[in-house]
Amino acid sequence: MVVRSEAVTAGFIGIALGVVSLAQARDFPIFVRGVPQEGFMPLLIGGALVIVGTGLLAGGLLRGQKTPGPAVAVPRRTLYLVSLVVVYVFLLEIVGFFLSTWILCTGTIKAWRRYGWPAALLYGGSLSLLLHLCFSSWMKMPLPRPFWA
Amino acid sequence: MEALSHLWHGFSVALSPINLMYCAIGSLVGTLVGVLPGLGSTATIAILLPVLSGLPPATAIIALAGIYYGAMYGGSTTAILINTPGEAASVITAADGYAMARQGRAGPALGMAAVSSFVAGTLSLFGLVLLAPPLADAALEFGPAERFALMVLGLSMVISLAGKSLLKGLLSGLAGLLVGMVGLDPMTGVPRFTLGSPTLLGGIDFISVIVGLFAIAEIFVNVQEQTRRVYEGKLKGLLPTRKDLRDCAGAMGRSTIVGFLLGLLPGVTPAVASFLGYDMEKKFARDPSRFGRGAIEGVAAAEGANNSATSGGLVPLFTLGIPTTPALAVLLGGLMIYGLQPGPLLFEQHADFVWPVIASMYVGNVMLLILNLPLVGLWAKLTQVPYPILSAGILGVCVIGTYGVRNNVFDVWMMVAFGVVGFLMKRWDVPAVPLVIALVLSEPLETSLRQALKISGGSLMIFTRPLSLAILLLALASFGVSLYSRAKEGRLAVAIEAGGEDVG
Repeated sequence: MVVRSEAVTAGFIGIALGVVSLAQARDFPIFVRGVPQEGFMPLLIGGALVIVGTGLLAGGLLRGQKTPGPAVAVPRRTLYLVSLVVVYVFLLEIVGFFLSTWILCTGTIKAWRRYGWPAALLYGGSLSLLLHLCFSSWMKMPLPRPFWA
Repeated sequence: MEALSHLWHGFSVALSPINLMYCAIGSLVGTLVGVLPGLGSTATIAILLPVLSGLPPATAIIALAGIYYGAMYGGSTTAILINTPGEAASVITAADGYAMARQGRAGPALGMAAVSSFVAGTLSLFGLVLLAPPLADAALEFGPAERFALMVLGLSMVISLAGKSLLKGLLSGLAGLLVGMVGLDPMTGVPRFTLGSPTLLGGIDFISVIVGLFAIAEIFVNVQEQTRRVYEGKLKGLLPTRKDLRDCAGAMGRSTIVGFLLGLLPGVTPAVASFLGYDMEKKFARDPSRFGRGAIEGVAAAEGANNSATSGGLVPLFTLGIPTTPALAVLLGGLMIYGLQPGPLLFEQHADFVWPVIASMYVGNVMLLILNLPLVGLWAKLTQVPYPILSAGILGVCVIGTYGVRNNVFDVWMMVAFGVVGFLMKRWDVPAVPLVIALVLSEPLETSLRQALKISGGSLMIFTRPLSLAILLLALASFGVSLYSRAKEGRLAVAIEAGGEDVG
């Protein structure tokens, strides 16, 4: 996947957000006897987003025709970490904070490829234990528990 | 003169061993609270209020005020070290503070944050003592139209913080306003942008957004770049140098005045005051391009404005019973629990309570300086911890802090989502700070605008009142100056590229 112009992408996103806001504004009254109602701000913000998005899109397309942007590779390590964090949030309320955080910390440390599995597991387990003891045991913060608890 | 003698008496009470001890405990707890994103001072004060209710009123409020101040400082510590603002007011501190940490100057940044907070606290204490009653009256002149104008002035910062692309900055700011609209309409309570989900009725929590955009996004970027440490190499000094202090003297003074005056106004939180104080300092700077890249004056201005706004917020609280921030609203509840009615008579009828509390604010500031300056070296060493381990710890703490806001995994999901958004924003060079500023201002901006138009029956003439017109013109001027500077930079860049003469 190659992204040629971030301005074009940002422009599309701006327009999309604007359309969402304008769609929401349609569901509410805008003014009643000259007084702005629930739909007023969504209309204002939606319109502004569409204008700004269009400006970005136009600028990006014009610049792209003159000087195409550099190809940007997919950030694989970031995708790995994002996936890990997503899995972690899923696991939070299944296996509880301690175990899921151990997995997260171990996986995060491994993302740097500087540590072997034993070291990553040790550091990850220590961090998870420290966080659990500090916040759950000492400060009595309610953290997610495993489904069997 | 009577005020000074009352203040002297206040110090004699505040410096009693038991009050000193509770002030120290409050400051420490507050610093810890501020360091952890999500564990805001508001929630901590609310939780501890019943616990401390057995203490004499002055002692309890002294402890709670210590938490409030400590949280301000704690939030700036992680903002500087690991780009993780612990409080909304620390967001702008991270802009230059973290850049300084990446240059090996975490120590001077932390030290300057402490010194600037102390100076601002000292100067604003005098403001509080000498100017409280007349300023409280003046604050009453600020109606919805004036508050709206002030929010527009705050949003004009979007332009100055937009970086190279004005449109990208505007996109970020508008996105922030949109995110702020998710939840219940502030005036009628009607759900908006909730997609029928009961979870979204409470809106998207601010902490999830800032933790995601700053801390999580930073980790996503650093894993791709395989960053080994926040800073590699020897740390350059642990405290600000004399030159740093000289360079920041003006910033500290100006931001203190701006922050204190803004803190008087309901709806203007220390976060907004820190944004405006920073923006003003950037405009005063000889080389504004340094801001956002490790300008120590930026740290001094943000922290000074933040701290003095905190003190300024006490003026309407004590004299009018109007809390300017959620944390002060809880503090107001604390006053009422003790049967103390805020208002003009509070100073007359309960001077033995009010003046020790005011004196303890200063004592708390001194305490924070004494407790935290020696720890600067220790905090700065965090930048030398191997980043894989540091990032794992940061992720864990961020999840705890975000989950702890509402005990809801949804907030953690939002944090991750905004982490991805923040990563993409960094890749596409879209600034994140305008989104955060706009998110903070979204609800008060809409409320003020709609209230003003409701009062005027829909007529825009309400914004031609002298105060609101002056502020709006200031915002316009600020916008114009930023556009002009940007255009000038563009022409200069073109001239340099073409090898021609300076056309500026």
